[in-house]
Amino acid sequence: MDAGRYQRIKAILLEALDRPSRARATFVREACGGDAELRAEVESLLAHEKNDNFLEPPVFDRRAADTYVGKTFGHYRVLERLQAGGMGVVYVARDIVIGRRAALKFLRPELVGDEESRTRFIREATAIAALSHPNICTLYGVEETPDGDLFMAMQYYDGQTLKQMLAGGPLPVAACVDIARQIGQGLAVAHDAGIVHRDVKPGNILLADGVVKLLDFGIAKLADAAALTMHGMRIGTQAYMSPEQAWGRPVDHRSDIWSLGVVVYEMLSGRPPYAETPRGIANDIAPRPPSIAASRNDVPPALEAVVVHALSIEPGGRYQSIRELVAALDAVGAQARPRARIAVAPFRQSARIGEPQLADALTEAAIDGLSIAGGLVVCRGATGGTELTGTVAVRSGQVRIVARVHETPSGHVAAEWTLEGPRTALPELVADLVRRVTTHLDVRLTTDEARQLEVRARAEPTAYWAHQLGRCCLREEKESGARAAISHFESAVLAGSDAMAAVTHAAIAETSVALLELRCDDADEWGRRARAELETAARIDNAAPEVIAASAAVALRLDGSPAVAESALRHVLTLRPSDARASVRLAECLAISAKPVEAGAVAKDAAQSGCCSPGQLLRAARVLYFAQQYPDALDVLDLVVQRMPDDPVARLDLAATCAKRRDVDRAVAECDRALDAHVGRALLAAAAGNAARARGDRARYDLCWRALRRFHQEEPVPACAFDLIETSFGNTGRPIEYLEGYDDNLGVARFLGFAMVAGSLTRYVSSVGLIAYLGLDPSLEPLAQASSLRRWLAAS
Amino acid sequence: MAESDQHDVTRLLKAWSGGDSKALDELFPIVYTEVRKLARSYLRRERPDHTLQPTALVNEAYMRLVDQRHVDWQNRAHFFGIAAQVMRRVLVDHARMRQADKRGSGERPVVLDEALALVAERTPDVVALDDALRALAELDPRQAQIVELRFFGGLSIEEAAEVIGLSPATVKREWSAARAWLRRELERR
Repeated sequence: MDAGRYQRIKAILLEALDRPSRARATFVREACGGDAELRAEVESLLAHEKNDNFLEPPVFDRRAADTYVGKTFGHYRVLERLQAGGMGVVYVARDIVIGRRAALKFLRPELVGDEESRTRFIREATAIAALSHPNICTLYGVEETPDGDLFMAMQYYDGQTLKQMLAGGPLPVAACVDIARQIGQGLAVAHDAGIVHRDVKPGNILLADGVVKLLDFGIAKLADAAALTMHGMRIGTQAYMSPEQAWGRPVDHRSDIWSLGVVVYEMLSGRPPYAETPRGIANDIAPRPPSIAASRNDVPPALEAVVVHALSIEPGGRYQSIRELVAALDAVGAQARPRARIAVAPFRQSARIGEPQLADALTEAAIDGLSIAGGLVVCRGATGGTELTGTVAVRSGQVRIVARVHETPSGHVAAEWTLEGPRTALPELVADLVRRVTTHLDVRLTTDEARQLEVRARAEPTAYWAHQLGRCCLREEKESGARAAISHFESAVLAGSDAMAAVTHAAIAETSVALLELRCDDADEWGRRARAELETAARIDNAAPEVIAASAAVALRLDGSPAVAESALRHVLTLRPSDARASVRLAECLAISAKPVEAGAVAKDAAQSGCCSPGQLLRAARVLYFAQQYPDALDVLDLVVQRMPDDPVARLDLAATCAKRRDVDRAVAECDRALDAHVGRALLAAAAGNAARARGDRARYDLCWRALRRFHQEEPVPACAFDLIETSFGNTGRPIEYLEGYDDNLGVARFLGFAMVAGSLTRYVSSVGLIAYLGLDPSLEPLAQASSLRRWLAAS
Repeated sequence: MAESDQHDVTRLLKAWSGGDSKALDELFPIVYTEVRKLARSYLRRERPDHTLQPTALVNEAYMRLVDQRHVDWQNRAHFFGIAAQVMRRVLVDHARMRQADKRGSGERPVVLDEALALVAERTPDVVALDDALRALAELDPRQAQIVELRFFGGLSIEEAAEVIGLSPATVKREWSAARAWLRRELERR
């Protein structure tokens, strides 16, 4: 057939089609004349002309059979219908002014039929739009079409709802806890603003890149009101509705706590606890939901207990605030997480680079980044087991890091990575290394942790680096290092004021407290500084673990509020269970609060974690001493002197501990070693003078005073030594009051607490060695007599 | 999308609507590239079990490529005329590649096409339809174009009439005739 022939066929066919069907056969016969082939063609085509849906709808249906698609409302151009739900239909739209995508939810007209519900809805939506929280879907506003249809414009997220996720069955425990926490955090912000969600259910929980977005705040209230007026009954998803909601009783924020409990239950077991029997739910509720443990065996009992508590029928029997529920989930999450362990050996650098601090600061940065992962125990130094080692080189502004994870002592290299980038990309390179190490060790970061890591990755590079240099200076745990650290941190704060600045301000606050502990002069100055820095840090990010830890340090040392400090430290430890500094502080808090048994247990755990610095071990040992766990204290002190053989304070502590164990020979030997150091001599002299005065031995006291002055002329001694020798004379008489109860733990603990918080006394005073030398413990008397201190005193 | 591209597309669209058929040759590759680019970016973000939504895809390409302030509905119809060609090309390429894949040629379909599989499966046999449309184009290029605009571009009778420059009544009649011819042709194959 050629085109000419087809045109003839088509002409007859089209004419035939214009006629009623009964007239067509006759027309075709006449039109084709005697051309049988032509007629056959036309008739065959006519037979194939049917008014059906052949080639319809088109593959690409622009109109999508919808009245809204393609239209523009305000500055939103509707692109496509996404889905229809109980409350309305959702479309994808483009904001033609800003160019971003948006989701528009057109509310079912009957929900907002009368003026009153419209007004109320708009008022509530305005309140929700004012909430800004990563776990609440951002609402741009409520608008109206010319036809009076109301729609909400919301941020468009690529993701899926929890309902879709749950179609695949229950979720892993860690994911359940993470998602539940995020839902809780979003709800907490809404509850603070007086907004109750009323329809928390998997279909209203969207997950975009692992971040929960809560949808549809308050719409349920409208639906409720509309349904009540129309049918005298409630609509909504029965399975998630609280009993009070189902019964039509007044509903408050605790209704959302119930619904969240249902959602967590469903995430864990794959189905909600109670059947979706309309209306009947309230009558069917059993006192306790069916056991989750029956359907799977990896749910910690503590987590099931949280769910059961949230699912108390009486609102008064549940958690009373969503934050309580989140805190409970945090605690469970911290316990449930499996821990991997890694030791970070000092990074080395290629000999060519003349920048000695680079490898040091990089090591600090790696420890800083890895410590974010609560599921990871991070130790400093080549302490065996799984180790991270690395080398760093710089060539023409490019940094090249080669890092490897290997097992010691086998030497098996489990992974090796090379990371390269410009100097300014160091924060990102370190974050990348952290991600690789955690992934390699199968340690999953929670959403909060991923955010903290992101804060570091995006930190201003100069500020980030100054921060890590500051951390390097703190390793020595000396006054000079602390001062140098503060000046690095100050440069960091000047260089960048991003979210990382919260961590840096918190570090200044902590370091100020440390300086206050190390020195007895300038105490007020450091105290003021610590408070001011903490305040700034908290303004930037009061949820960062570093900021919470700094608030504990301030509460303990400046405010003398061990209870406040204890609660903050426990919070830090739920987020970072292997944070050695927080563990040791918590042990001290407990000692000050006269809970020696628990204090000793926490101190021992911290010391055994292998992650403590020598200074932290020393503090843990003191707590153990006061808990009268002398063998444990001795073990810990041995670890300290292995790493700091010449530290006089550690030697004095050892002396006192040995004396308590009736090992006088070693006690004397330790005292002698302490005397080798100037500081040791000064402190021993001060302590001996103090003890002499307490016993009324004026001559010996004078001798000690002269010795102390001589030591001071040779080389300045810590000012606290002078405080110490005077303390028993009533200049600051209160320590003696506390010491009167020395033989019972309570008195010792109180003294320790007083020493820690009373600005004029410092960690030297709380040193057990010195307390021993106060001579109030008869078991230590031979030590004071036998010590070569006598020779020193005699020489004065 | 650079503003200059948007300016170009808008200008070309107006030129084509105004009768400059060369403008079409320049427009096609721009729209084709944009649709594929958008499709890829959708696919990176969406899960494989999500259908790629051609409607949103082409609407979004339009939003990005065309300066809305300077076009009328006729220009818009012309744009979707090009989109129809693009969608036909993409779908047919995909279907052919799938066939080749089944025969074991080892050639893997590109990602975009995998997502379009769902669209293609709804359509009887895109490759056969494409072949039939080519045959029809030999006999009556205008009818083939109408089918392309209606089926692959989702244009209404009125919009197709605007793009081709015929009256809606004529387009409607030609559409009926073309459907009859294609139905018969596909039955024969």
